[in-house]
Amino acid sequence: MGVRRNILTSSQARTQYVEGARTLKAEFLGPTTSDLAIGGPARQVSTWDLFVVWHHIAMNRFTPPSQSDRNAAHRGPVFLPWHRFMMLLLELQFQRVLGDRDFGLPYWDWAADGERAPGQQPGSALWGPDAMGGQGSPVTTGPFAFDAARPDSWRVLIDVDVQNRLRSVDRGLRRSFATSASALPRRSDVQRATGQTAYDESPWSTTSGGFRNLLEGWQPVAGAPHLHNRVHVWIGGDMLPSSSPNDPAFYLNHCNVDRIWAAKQASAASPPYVPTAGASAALLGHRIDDQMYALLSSSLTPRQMLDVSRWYTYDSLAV
Amino acid sequence: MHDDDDLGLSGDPESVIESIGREKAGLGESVHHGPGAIETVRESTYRGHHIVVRTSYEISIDGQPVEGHLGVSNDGQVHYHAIPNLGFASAVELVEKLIDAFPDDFEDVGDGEPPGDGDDSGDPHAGHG
Ligand SMILES: [Cu+2]
Repeated sequence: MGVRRNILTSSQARTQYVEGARTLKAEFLGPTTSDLAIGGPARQVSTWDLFVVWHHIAMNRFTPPSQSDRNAAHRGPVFLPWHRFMMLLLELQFQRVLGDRDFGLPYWDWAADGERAPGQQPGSALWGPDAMGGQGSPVTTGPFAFDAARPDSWRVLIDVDVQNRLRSVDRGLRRSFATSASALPRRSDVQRATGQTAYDESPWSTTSGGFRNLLEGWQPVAGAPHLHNRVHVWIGGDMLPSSSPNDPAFYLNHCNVDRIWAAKQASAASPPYVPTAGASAALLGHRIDDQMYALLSSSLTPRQMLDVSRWYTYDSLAV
Repeated sequence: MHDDDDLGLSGDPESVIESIGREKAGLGESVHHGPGAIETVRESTYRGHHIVVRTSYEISIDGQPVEGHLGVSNDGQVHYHAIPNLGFASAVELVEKLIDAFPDDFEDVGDGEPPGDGDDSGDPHAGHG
């Protein structure tokens, strides 16, 4: 069973995460860009990049199609269980290539860095050469640095264009810290989310109150983006578009989001997942027994993601 | 190798390949809006009455149409799927952000810089009521 650790305090988690990411990026199981409806000449898609594609497609499925706010993975109640599903499947891939069934995806407790002065936040050890490397266009330090002369350096091979279409590219990873959001979330921001009494609330969207929407980062509108959204935006570059799983930092953010949910679930007054199975069909894709959008496995329901104790635990639920 | 468990989740390559084979027929749908105005729909129920608000947007940058999914939530915030973590009080501001976020799609014409480090004006919601 996986143990998910703080990437800044476990050098083993850090080393294994980098090694696993680089291995999955270099593994080609057979599926091609044309299998995935991506234009241009067909080329094979790495296991890592299959998750980029899955995330993008999920985000582009309105749930239900009659509205244009909630999608199959975001902006509604399914945000937390869908990303838990995605990361669980990725974690199984890491366990396979690392030959270690106890590997757990590491998390970045970003609110700890958020307590530092904004000008010092880019100096976090996370962005050091033995962790994620720094910022740049392209990134030039750390294990995901771009080197045009080295085919095995980290390359972004699928991204999205301004029309929101997936496309084939071949370039280095990009990050631009604090350009579009000036500071990381703070502990008090996390507590505002965990202090909510409901998991989610009508109208089950970005305008809702409740734990899910605050953690996703849409409310309160003043000062948004918050929490999960703010971390994407603060890192910037490849973390901005719907192809954001291109950056290994994506999973460190989402693993921390999942950890905050796990902490909420473990708390004394943990609210139940809503909406229930009997809720209106207008909430298709977000009710507890609805099928979540799958691409790399069979589908699961939010209910099946509520108890993860057989798969992984966190080294700490202090958020 | 990880055992299959009762949910059928597996890290085996064969399971990944099979699943893509099953799903690929449905791909290519609804990933792109296509040419023409972008229509958004907002629905609400108020005191038992069903409200539907349709808005259409026709956006271009340097004459080239922007055709991805744009949505409006019921509080009036606009969002665009290609930059999914941001909401905007103004569609114009959203389109400015697209120019920053997609450097490969917009040639640098050397007129103005994207907002720099620590510049609060880059925060999408700052200062809008
Ligand atoms: Cu996501």
